[in-house]
Amino acid sequence: MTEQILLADDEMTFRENFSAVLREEGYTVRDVPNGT
Amino acid sequence: MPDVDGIKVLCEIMQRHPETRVIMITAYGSVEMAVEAIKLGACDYVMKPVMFDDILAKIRHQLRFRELAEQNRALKSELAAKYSLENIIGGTVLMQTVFATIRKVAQTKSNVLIVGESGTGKELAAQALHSLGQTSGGRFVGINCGAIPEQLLESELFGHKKGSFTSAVSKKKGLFEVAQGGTLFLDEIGEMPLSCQVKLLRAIEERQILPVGGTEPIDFDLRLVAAMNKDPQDEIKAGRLREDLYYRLNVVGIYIPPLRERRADIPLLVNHFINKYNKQMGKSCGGMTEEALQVISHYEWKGNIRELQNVVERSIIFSEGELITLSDIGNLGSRRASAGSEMEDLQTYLRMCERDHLNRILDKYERNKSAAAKALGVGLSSLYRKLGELGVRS
Repeated sequence: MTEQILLADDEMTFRENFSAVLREEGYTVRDVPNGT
Repeated sequence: MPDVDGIKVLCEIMQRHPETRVIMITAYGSVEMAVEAIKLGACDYVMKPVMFDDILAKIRHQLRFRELAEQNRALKSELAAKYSLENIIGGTVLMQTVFATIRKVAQTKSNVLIVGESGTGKELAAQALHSLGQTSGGRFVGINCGAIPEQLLESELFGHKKGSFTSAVSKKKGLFEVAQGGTLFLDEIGEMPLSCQVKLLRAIEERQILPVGGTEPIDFDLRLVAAMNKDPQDEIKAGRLREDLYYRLNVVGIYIPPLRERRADIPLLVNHFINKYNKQMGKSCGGMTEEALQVISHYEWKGNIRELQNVVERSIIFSEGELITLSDIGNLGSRRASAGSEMEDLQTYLRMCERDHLNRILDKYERNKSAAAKALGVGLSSLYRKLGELGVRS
């Protein structure tokens, strides 16, 4: 099983770019815009 | 973040999944906020603009940390299992009493004095006390008080300050400090020099130690377990053990009987060691011949379980057949216990009869356990249990 990362950030560009980098590194990423 | 800020999210995560590694990223950072996040459980803190390589390195570092923590947890539980009571073999009433005492005392932090001949498993008992008890979260630290020169023992136990004596080039923690929250095992306490016994007594009474060359006492909170292989009363009479220290240590006394007082455990121990060395050496020894077991069961075992363990290990090395034979166990016959004691030991005699009868019935039914159990009028699981207890090859 790959390592799972939850990325929570309200800045969409950062979220999308960084999620892509993380996925490329082999992580399973779930990105969310807020903490609710 | 809208609706809820990062610190609140961090609190929620730490409350629901405290094992999660959280790296905080913020565009509005301040040193105070970073400190608060770390205090609340974040493992790292990054401010925008973020360098992806930098944060990736932090993620890898945190995942490695989590992996090591998991390994550490697994090793700790492996260690606890290794030193649990299940690893002390003994089905006799004498040993069951020892186990019951260990279980009871483990729930307290009282000082314990374990008395037993060399090779009876005093350290194993001390480790079981540690792993079953309140102090299992701390370390188990042992020292053989007879193996350290008098001049060094005080510094080993209580530590020293830099420059307190010629070779004290740096500050050193004593074992009392190293074992804080755990167990300090003082083996061969009867061999401890009297001058050190006085200092130990004072430390126990005040629950404080004073490092060599130090002026500030240090409080300690640990369980003390001491052990000796001679009769404490004889040692007190001979002036080698301070009576006041004996009473301080012997809040609970545990006597581990020598192997000759629990011969009925010998087949169980033999089986245990055969399994252990089969695994270690990749052998498939199936047990011991009746003849060899008879000799083993009546040997005097002055070196107790340690000696028995060595004999089984050696026998497995030299054994060429499926079973360990008389010739594999070496020349034990010359040191057999006297014939009188064999005749007086009813428990051993009854076990021999049981073993012979089981072997005869098993042979009759060509070692078929179901048929043998039926003929014996017992259930199959009872038969297997009995075979294990008596060390009969199944």
